[in-house]
Amino acid sequence: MDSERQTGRGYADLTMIIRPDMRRFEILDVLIEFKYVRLSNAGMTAEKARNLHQEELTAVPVMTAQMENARKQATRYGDDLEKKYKHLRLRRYAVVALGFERLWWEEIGRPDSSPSDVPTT
Amino acid sequence: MKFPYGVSNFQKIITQNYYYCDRTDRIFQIENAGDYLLFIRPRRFGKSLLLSMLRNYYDVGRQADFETLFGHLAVGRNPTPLRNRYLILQWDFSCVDPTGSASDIRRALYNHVNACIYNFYKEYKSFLKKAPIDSEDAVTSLKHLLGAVREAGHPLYLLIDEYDNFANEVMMSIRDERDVYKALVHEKGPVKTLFKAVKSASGEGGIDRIFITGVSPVVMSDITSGFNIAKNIYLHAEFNDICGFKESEVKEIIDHLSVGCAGDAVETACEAMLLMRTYYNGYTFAPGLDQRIYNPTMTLYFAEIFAEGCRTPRKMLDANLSTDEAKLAYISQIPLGRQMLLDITREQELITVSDIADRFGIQEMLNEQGRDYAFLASFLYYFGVLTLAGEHPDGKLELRVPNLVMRGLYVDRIQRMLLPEPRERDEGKRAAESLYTRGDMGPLAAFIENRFSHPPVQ
Repeated sequence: MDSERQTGRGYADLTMIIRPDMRRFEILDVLIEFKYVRLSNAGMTAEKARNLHQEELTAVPVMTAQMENARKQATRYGDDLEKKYKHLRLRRYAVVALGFERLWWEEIGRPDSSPSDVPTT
Repeated sequence: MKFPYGVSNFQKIITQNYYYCDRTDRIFQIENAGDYLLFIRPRRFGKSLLLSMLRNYYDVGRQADFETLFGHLAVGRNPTPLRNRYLILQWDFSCVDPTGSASDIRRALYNHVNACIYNFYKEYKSFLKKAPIDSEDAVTSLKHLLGAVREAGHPLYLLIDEYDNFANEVMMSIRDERDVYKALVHEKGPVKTLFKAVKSASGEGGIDRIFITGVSPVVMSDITSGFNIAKNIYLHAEFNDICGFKESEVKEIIDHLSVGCAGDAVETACEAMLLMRTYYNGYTFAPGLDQRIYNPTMTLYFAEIFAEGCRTPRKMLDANLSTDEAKLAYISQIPLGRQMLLDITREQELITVSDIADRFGIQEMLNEQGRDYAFLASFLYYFGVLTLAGEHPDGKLELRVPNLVMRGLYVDRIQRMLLPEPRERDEGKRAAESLYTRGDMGPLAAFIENRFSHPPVQ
């Protein structure tokens, strides 16, 4: 229920903050930072993108660069949100889309839970 | 504290001790604004209560009630010379059935006007002689009534509530019913004819003052050659908060109610205010003004639930307002509107227009070329799903979604636009659920990949 959605220094792509009176339920606050990479920017056709293995997807340089941006922003906005609201159960995610074909997502701050195995810098 | 949720009868609110947010101090401003006024606000914003208050104030037949009704209010201490000076004729076009052919609607409209005239004679039988009512033609009945009014020597105040109600219904409906709308407002149409008669009776003709409320100026534009005397006051800064609640007024209600709650009253009030501000606040109707107004219906809905044992509503959107969905559905049928809905829900997106269009009529509504960005934005402004955000440095106006309740309507509409199949929407909802209940993004990512890749994976 974050109406302004403005964190300290900018705007997060998607935040879902639980209503204070609904916090007694077992649900999570969610922050998603989203980046979109055009197929042409990745030098890729839709078909090729669809057939990439996860390791190949995460090795495309423009994807790696955008994931790094999303990760940084999710960390920063997440920290801002935690300062702004008390008692958050915040999960932060960085998501990079390659065209409409593929999504590469990572949970930030909980690297063990992510299915993709990319070293964090 | 009793809350007048859905009650728009001023007399009932005062005499039965409902909560009343005093706006009687504005009577003076309304009188000074002009004799013939048009006041526009979204549905469920308290317009009918405003009219009811004016009716009770000006009614020559309710002189004896003045002290009871207004004595404790702002105007009671400082009444204007015009109080209890008028015969009041009131029409409420939301009572007019908008279905059927043009002649059915004409019949319904005339029946309503005739019924109001009948009640007028009944109410004022000690003030004037009853003139004949023409059951076939309400315009004739009105002319007779004005004759009787002039003879009696009392000025007449005409109040028209929801002047565009039935037309809005017709306007947004399917194509063949649009011809019905055109038939209503064209040169010889019943709406135009009625307003022409009102116009010719204003001033010397017997009607001294007119106050009209409605949701949009669309119908006014279409009948404007018949009725071009009403002054638009809905963009005036001084009337920005005449309908709806100010933050300080909402806080007063919540502080009062929180005292009876278990736990820390200040903290309880603070949490309730945060919810209300996020979901219900945010409306600004006058350009260049930095004052936000709470939706009064939603505020009263919350207050009523909160008053029974300090509970907060499970659903923040009062079902009575979900009909605003229809306006977004209308917009989403228009190609440019589709894009606008997507733009609006992006984070911090402002819609910039050179001005709020106030003179668009049915032609613009129906004509693809007429439905430009400014038209669509103005349309959403009138229905309360966009509101003024401020002025751009270059003088243009910026609009935004007023609050989270309205944002919810947009998101819902976009969901239906992108995922027309209910089965797909349910699938998407389940995927989102695993994100916010278990923190698992996997199902949602897979859903999006499957649904939106080209071609979608079956």
